Amino acid sequence: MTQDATDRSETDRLREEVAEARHHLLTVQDHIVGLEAENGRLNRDLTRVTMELRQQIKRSRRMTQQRDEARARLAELRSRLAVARARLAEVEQPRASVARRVARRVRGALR
Amino acid sequence: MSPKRRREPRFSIVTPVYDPPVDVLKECIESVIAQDFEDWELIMVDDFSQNAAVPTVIAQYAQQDPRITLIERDTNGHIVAASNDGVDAAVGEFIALLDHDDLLVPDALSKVADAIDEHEDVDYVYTDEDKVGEDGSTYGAFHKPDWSPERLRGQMYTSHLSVLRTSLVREVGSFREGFEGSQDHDLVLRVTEKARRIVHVPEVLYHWRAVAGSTAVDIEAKPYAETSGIRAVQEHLDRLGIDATAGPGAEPGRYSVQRRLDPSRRVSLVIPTMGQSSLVRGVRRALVVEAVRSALARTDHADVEVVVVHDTPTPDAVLAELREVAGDRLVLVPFERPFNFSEKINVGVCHSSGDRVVFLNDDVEAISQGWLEQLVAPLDEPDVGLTGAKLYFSDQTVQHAGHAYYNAGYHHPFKFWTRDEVGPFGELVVNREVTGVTAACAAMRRDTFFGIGGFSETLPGNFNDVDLCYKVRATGLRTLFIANSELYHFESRTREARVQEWERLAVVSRWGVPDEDAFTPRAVAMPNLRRVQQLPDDLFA
Repeated sequence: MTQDATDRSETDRLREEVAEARHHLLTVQDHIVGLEAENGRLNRDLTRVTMELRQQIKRSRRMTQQRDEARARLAELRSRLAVARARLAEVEQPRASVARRVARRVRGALR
Repeated sequence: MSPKRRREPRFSIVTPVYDPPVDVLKECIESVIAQDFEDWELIMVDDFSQNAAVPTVIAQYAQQDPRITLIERDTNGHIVAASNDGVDAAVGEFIALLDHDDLLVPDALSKVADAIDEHEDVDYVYTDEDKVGEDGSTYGAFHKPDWSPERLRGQMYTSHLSVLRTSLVREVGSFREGFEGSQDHDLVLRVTEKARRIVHVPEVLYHWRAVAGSTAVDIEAKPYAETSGIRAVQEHLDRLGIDATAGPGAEPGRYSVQRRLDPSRRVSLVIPTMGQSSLVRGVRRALVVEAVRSALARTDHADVEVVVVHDTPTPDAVLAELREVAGDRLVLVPFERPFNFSEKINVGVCHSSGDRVVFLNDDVEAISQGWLEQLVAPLDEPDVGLTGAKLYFSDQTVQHAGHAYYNAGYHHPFKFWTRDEVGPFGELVVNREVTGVTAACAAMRRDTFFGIGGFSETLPGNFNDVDLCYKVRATGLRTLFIANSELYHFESRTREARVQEWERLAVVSRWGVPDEDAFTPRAVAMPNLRRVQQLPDDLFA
């Protein structure tokens, strides 16, 4: 092999090595860019989910408060209902006639 | 003019008026009075209307509402002079342009104000628009792209409603005489060259009156506008130092921008192949050979390197033909690993020497003369990261005119439209920003390619171009669809197209699920989807 051919072969070998190194750099760079992108996407998701969580927690608090208020109102209404029912029952209870009550009182006085 | 302003309003609505039908003029004024945002002034400049009722009507409104001002010109000076009188009189922070027969929707100004309030440096706002017919019905909604400077060179797409910072309008010299018919395009080109922030409000806030003789009905109604428009675009290109010539486009109102590629740029075509043959229009051809032959034949650029990354089974005869076609411009790179498109392109770029790289499938055929120059030259603009060509199937229907990512998917809008169609709003004939382009024919600067890590080799077959486009976008660079770089793409003649779910998930894991496309909204890309969404609920009951 002549010196010229040897040099050319060495040049080709080095050129191939440079290309391989470049290729390796590319794949590593893609990996980094991909990780950065995934981190960015996860952070965006995190922000979105956190906001959604906050909203849901707020909503949950509001609903719980509304539920408690409704429960209290229901209890109060139930209590008023019981009183009203008792009163109604009392009012609706059959009473002795005037003649009978007079007779009962007279009998009592005679005892 | 009545001196009655109490303080600077937020918006000065400038309306040049010349002989509109009085009822239409009244509707226009009423649409401003009906705004749910009160901090405005309406400056109506009567350009010496022949109908004396026109200034009388405006004067009556001005008497009733101190926010309305009438300026009466003594001569008919045409739209530029009249508009400039309005600009001179404006005291608002922003100027909103309203034609004398058009309508604002009631929350137009409040929506624009909301957009302005989000950032301190907003200099220009534009909104979506539709048309309103003589019977008052609206139609033809134009859902516009987000800020798209390349598209503005090809068409005045921002149009109505345009709201510009008053100080900037004055700084650039307001409307210019001699640009009648395209005076708004010329102004917006000059304003956007200096604007710090441009905001698109993706809602229809303006109804453009469609009456006989108006541009809304017939784009050829003002033939003088085209000459002015071409001149406006050319001067804009010159101001920016873009080496290109503006000319008439595929239809009135569209402009072509023919760039010149620096002859000293070395361009490397990187073509992966297995050396397959296929029948094209009844003739068997070695696809890669014809791809290279047509690519070289239809460019005048001299410094082109052809890097062919070929799998081991590639027939010797094909390689011999390639040597014959490309001569000493050919670099053959053998590839012995299993099929991986991304890896083959990456390997090819690593063996290339050009500072511009063009990815080219082996099943393409260049059609347009200068396809390479038009594809590569925009990369001289530092904020352009990627360009993609317009591709057709062999029957001349569109295969690719830019990607759009929406509705949890990656789409090719306008697929199967015919070659002579211009698209709903000129999308097929105007160079424009897109979210992505296919890697079947795309170009990048070498430094950008290495900066983003090239194609992801974890995606060997599908969506590697989608991932690449996302990467380009993540660096803040623009991706352009180049309508005047045309090729055939005999798609999937060399490989069976099959998408695996994991490929989609790999892209989603990096970039998330796409919802709405910034440049080709789904309402434009897939109008049928919009129609389904608009169907009444009881239809499905």
